[in-house]
Amino acid sequence: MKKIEFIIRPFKLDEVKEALTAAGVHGMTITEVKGFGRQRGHKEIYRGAEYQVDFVAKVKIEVVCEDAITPAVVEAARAAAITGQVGDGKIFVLPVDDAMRIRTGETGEAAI
Amino acid sequence: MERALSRIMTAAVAVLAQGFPGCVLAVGGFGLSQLSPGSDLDICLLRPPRLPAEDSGRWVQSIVYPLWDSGMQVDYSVRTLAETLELAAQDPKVLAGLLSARPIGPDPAGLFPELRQGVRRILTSAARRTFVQWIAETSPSGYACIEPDLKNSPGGLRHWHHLGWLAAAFPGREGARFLDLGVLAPDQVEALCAAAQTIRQVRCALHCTTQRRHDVFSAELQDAVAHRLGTSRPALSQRLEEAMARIRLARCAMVREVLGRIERKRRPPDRRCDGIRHTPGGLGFAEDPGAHPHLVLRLIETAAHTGIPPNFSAQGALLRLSARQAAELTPHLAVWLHDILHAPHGEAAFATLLDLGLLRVLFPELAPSLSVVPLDGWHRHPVGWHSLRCAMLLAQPQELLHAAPWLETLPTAPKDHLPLVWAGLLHDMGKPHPRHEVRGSILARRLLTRLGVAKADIATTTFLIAEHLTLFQVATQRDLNDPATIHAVAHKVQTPERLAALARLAVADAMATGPAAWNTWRSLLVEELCAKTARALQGRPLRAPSRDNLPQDFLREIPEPARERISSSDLRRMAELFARQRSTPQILHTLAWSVHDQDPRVWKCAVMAPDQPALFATLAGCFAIKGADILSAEIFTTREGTAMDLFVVRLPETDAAYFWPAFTEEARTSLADPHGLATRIAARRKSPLRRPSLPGPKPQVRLDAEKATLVVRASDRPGRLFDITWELALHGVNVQAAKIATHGDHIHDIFFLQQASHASWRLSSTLQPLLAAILRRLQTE
Amino acid sequence: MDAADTGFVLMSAALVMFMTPGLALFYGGMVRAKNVLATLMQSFILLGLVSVLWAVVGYTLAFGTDVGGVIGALNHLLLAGVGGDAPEGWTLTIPPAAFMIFQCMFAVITPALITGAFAERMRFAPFLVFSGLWLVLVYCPMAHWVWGGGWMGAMGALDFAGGAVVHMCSAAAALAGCLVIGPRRGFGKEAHIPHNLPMTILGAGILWFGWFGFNAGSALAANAQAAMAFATTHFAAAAGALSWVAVEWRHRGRATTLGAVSGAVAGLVAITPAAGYVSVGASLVMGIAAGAVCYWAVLQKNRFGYDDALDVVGIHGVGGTLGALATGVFADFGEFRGLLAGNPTQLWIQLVSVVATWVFCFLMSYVLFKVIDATLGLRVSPEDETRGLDVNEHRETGYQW
Repeated sequence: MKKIEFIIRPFKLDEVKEALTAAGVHGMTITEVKGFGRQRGHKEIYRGAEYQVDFVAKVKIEVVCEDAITPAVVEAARAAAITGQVGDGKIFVLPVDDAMRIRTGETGEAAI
Repeated sequence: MERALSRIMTAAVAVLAQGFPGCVLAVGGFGLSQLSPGSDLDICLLRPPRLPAEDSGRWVQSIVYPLWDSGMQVDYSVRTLAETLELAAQDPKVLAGLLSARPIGPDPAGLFPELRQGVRRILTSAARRTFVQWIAETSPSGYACIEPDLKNSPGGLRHWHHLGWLAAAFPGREGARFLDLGVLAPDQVEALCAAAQTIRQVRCALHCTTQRRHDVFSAELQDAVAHRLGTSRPALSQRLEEAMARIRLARCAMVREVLGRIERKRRPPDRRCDGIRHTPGGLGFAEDPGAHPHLVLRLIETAAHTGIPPNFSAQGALLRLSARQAAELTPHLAVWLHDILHAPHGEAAFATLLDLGLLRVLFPELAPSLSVVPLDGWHRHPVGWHSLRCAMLLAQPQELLHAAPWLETLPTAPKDHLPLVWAGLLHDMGKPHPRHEVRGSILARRLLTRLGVAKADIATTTFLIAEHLTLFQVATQRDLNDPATIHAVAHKVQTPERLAALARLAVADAMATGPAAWNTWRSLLVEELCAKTARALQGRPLRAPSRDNLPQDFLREIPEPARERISSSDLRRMAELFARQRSTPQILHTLAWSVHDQDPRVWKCAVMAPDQPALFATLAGCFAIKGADILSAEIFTTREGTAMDLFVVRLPETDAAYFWPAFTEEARTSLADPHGLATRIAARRKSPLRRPSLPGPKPQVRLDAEKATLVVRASDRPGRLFDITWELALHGVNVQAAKIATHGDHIHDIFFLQQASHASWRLSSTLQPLLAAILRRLQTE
Repeated sequence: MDAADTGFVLMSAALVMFMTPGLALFYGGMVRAKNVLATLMQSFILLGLVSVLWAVVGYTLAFGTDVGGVIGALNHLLLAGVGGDAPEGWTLTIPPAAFMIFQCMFAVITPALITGAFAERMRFAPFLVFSGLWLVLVYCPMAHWVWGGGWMGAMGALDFAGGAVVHMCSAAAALAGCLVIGPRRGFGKEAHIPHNLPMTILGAGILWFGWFGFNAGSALAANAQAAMAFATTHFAAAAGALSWVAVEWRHRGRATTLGAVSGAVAGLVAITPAAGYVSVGASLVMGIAAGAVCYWAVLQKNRFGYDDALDVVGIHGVGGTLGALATGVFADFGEFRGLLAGNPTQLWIQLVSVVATWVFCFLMSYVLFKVIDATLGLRVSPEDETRGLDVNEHRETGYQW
């Protein structure tokens, strides 16, 4: 099993969600997050002065899926999330040792 | 299997739903009792309006949760009858779902009959038009492909469902079942059912093979699925393709039929013209084509000129055309075919011809090849479709010339398209013979002679077919800087006219094959080959010599081969780089420029660095780490010992402005520490994002001592080129140039080895350890 | 006594009272979320503190019998004799209590204006001490000089509704305050960005609304001058909003909401000393000038490096000064005539009053801040400043996310 974290532009959330579902992901957790990478924030103007806002709003999607579909899931999400501009986000893939569904106590891939 | 599975699940849901005061509906595939092992279970709980919300919540829990826990994917909805009908009137998707709904278990409140009536009411209202339009528009159109999506591709199960939905919306017969509709002859209905059955069978086997819902009949799974169904891959592919063609055709006619009937009032009544009838459902026969076979040709011709496809009954009549009747048409076929190919809607008409299997009847010689499904990583479509595309590109060459404008610059454009179009249509008719180009030219001669084509045209056509692979083979696998290569091609084609025709055929063939066969790099290579061959045919030097403007010190330093192998514009850039290295010596200098205006991903990169062992391998590894593919490489060493390499690479989808500084940085680091690079490549290989590659053909390493080439074929993985070149460097073998082709999961690399070490290779025994070492590397995954 | 005048002034007093919570919202939206309550509190609590002080000593110091043109005598201590009946020599048509409560609202909002300068870093206790002392030592004398029979009024300086007494005076104190207390942590390095501009916009709207009471009410009668003041107030605010946005659009390429409300407030400030003396045409000119000049002034603070957090100096100081001088130019109402009406001396008198106000208020406030800083300490610790004033000073947070 792999955990995949997608950090994407908030307005791409719907498209990415659709793409993930189509790629066989059955559940996801999303968080509104802030951060910066190469995009390095943006400028805001208050009373004529420009302020650099370092942390840009992003959405983080967390998904756990089987190894076999991991490449397909990542590709599908990337295709949906890309605009080609700096600030499109990142995708991290992490190993997951085990999982458990709380209600039933099922473990492993059955739990995801 | 589907029926059994549906029965089991129906029973299970019935048990779980015992006592539910409303009605449990099975919808979607479950409603049709067509459950594949990986299908979703779609359930709709119709709740009585009086049932409190928390009660229906409890019912969901007791019906749906156990299904979830048993591992099923369940999609459910809970609505009252009124809500459901309201939604259905607005959302065609919901309406479609309800059309295939079936009740499970008792229906104490009698909701289901009410639902049916409600649905029928919607179907007689204005919502019908929206619904039919939605069906007509939501579906993909296009060609048969060799990796079809059994559900969503044209002719897949989705189209089969469309037939049912359209039948239910049929004016005057609202709510009817497709099979009872009576617009089709019984034998057509039977054939369609058999076709759908075939697709479902393959889908079931596919799901069982993959253990999940996976509807794309991917190349790597086809063998396993065929095996599970007790047949061979080619046979299964052919059967599947024929089944999908039938459903595709039927759906197309049905959409027209229903839309036509809905809009009948606004349309002119049937028109007759020369034995062809224009009906709301498409073109039909006014007289029996069995008695007048030439009407068959006229119908297709009309379709090609008007864009209107044949209607149901015409399809039936065309399917019944016998070989004997077809034989009567032989004298007209050649002219007729050309007319269709040049007509504005020729492609669609031809597609119908192909889907109907009519081409097979009219040209029995083509039959064996038409439904061959070549799984070579290049082709996207079966041979029939591929040949049609190719012929269309040649008959109406705007698209061809747009993609490869240089075709028009070849000295003489072919005056007469006739043999060229024939060649496009027939070039693969020799498949699946291993030397299909040779076999194809023999078969084509027979066919064209039977059709009464002029002798001269036949000669040209057969020549084109026999040589249709030559240009790309030479361009990608031979050294184009070697005059012998060019002269060999010139000798083969003999005249500029033939070269131009062959170039068009080759490009059209590649374009019709798919993106693996037709990309910027291959296009550039074949363009270079054609331009040089054209010069050779005119007796002009292969390259215009212009070596002025280059600094003397640079010219003194570069080796002789470089002057011959590198174009003068590239040499100028290398001189610039050379000057930079002279003024500020560095571990590495790079200079990159884009090669092609239309494809921003293909770049040339000149690299200059003090020579060191395995420099080429290190650079190859750096490109791999950064995700770029090397397409070709030229490697030189100046007299003072500076390596001077010229790469053509395809960049990953990053901004080039970002890629090149990052690459240069990587290369500088790696040259200082080559072992770090090897570690990083190894880590890259372990990435979970790499799709597991197919067990490809066994790796092959072949040394041609005569031509001083080393050919490697193997499955691809990150840093493959690094592996090979690293071994070459370890064994002290220097590469002069390389051409690297990757298609699908396989590589086909050709290394042109340096002349200096050439002589000693005659003792091929000294090279045996090298070949063994490379093989060993290729075999370890 | 005139019933209409009395009713009008009482309503105006209520409108001016409403400006203080309006100001609280205006400021509250511009600070960061962690300081919103402290900022609101610094305005709101003055409704309590200043009102009480006003009743005890404030009123009598400002409006008691004149002592040497400098301060009022203690004859109205605890509002003795300030009731419904007019005493002898009372020239207004409203009861003394109405005048007193109207003036009380002015006294409340003036120290509240200062809080914008030291927002986000001032401790609460020293703030209360400062505000109380400042009212007695700075505001009351100023009010006396201009309106209570003191030297400035006698000199003929025109200040219709408090351009000097309220705006310049608070701005001078604000400048002193931010110089003494020092910039916020991370000033110039990190962005201190408004956390809730909708709140600020609502606050500015309330200010604009209350300002009608502030300016028109200053006529102290429901008469023609009150009507003129009402109109000039509105048009100056409107012109100020437009001109700020126009300048900003040209300069930064965007029209911002904060710019629009700031411009409106700048226009309101500028018209305050002139409201009852100038024509509508002049008020438009003053509004336009105020929007543009204050925009420029606000930008200057970055050059000088003092952290006037919410631009009290830039808007109230510069706007008030501009208004006071413009009054000397445009005044033309009855016997009040400015430069354009053929009375150049008026401009000179205005200038003198401006300089005097700035010097007096700045010096007094500076000393006051210094003393309190040395004894109580003005500023929260760096750690507390990072954590936010709400939690530290008030043990509350504005928002539960």
